[in-house]
Amino acid sequence: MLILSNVSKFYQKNAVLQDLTYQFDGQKYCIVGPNGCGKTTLLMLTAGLETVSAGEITFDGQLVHLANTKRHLGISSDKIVLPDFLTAQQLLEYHCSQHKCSYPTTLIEHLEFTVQLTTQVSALSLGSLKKISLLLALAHQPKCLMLDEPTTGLDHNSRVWLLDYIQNYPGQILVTSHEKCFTENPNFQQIVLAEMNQCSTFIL
Amino acid sequence: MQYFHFMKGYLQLRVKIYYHELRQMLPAVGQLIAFLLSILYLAISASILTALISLSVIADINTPIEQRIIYQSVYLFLLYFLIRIQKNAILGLNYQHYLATLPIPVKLKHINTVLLTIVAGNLLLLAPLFLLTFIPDWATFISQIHFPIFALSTLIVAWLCLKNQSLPWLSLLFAPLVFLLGFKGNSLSAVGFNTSLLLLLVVEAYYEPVLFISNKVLRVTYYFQIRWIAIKKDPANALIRIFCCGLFIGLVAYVQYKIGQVANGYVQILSCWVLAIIIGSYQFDNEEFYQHYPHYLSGLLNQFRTRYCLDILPAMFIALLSSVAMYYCLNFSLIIITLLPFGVLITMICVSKFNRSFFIIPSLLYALFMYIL
Repeated sequence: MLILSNVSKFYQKNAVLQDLTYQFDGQKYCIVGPNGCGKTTLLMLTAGLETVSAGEITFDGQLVHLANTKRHLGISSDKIVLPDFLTAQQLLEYHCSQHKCSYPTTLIEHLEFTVQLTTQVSALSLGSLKKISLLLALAHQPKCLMLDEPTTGLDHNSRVWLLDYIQNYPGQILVTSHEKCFTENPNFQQIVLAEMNQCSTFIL
Repeated sequence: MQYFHFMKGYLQLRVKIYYHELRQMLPAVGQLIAFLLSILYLAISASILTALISLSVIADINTPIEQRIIYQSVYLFLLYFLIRIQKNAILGLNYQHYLATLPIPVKLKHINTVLLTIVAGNLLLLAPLFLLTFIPDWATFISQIHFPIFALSTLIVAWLCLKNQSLPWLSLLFAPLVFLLGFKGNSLSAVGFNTSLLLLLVVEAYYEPVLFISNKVLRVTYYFQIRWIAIKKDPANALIRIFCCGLFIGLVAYVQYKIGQVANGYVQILSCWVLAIIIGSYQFDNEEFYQHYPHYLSGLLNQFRTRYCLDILPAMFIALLSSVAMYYCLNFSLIIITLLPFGVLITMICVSKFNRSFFIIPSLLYALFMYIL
């Protein structure tokens, strides 16, 4: 279970998140809020990609920035700049070798990404970048999947497949989105991350 | 009239981009340049002048072939690097999409690129062409044809540098080495060598054989492979350092050869320290890499410490190679030579800890300590 304990995040003197405490004991969550309220930052923190300024975040009792915990986490976000000098295939191969998982051939086929595999990341279109980002998050079938605006830029087929896949995903899912398919989806517990610079708790 | 108006405005824009890019580039190597200028200011100006003076050796048709190969290769190498490090600025690569939106004729864009290349290549590019104007008649031109071919080679090197991604290893490294080893004595004429080199340069301009080989997609399973691909993708900084090391060791060897004795302790310590700073400052590239992909790297399962140690290894390897070369070829003292790898290590750690503000001083203190010893 993902637990946030008194988590704060400051960028210089600007508090983006302040004293957040929450237990993610459900299966699917959609984090909503206006632009700039800290949704992506929250995902980056919970994936262990950024360090908290105060407090701690644990998954199954272990701090999220530890390598062993990261094996169980997967994140897709446009904020993560991928090594653009590698091809998409090299990136996926390295990811799979790290996580000791099989190469995600089926996922690649579903996302219609086969043609782009030999393309360098720097030459990928926005939609293709989103796909490689999703593939990296999904390839090792993490227990906790974090998706930042997962449908942005996706073509129709990939979008339909992804929504269906997320719907049936066996692990825990945290999504940030403004799309109705998530915000008005009864399967997703809505978390409103409001007034972040003054307020300090999730409003459910 | 409108054409010239276009030309003027576009040239002004390209010149502004060029100087802006150079200004952006300078702080990145600012301290290293300041350091080199303060320690080696005579050597730097001398090396530029030496390159120009070497034109007299290159122009002389009676120059022995071994000497010609060395002089011409070093000259073309210097020219290549001078333009290579300014490539982004010359072509305005960071603004290429914006520049492409401008309704400027292609010919005009090429003219501007040529002008900026001349500015960037300055003396090294212009001097051979300038010397050509001193050829009095066609008869002399034909009898001295090796030099016009060399002048043409300089232009091709400049063009190739802007056009291609990879260093022309075949024509600038491999071929001269083969010629040097294969044609000892004067069995190869100046015209023959220069023509062969020119042909190779033209071939490499179109086919990039080395790039063709290196483009084979490798399976990536380890972190060091990622770093290696990153270095190959943008090799300028690593190559500049390797080139500086080679040049510096060459200068020390030349000094030793001229004075006919083993360099004294002071010169040895100074040489090791300068090399340690040049090689160790490679850590700036590593730090830039960390800053460019912070979230991706944070998501990796290996530890930062492991990645840090792996990233230090290439520089340490170059330091070790240089140490071995200086120990065996230049008779450096074994105790003093240890300054090089340790100096590199100290510099790299200091770059990480203190960034640009303090990375030279610790290795300098270490060098002084060695001197006192």
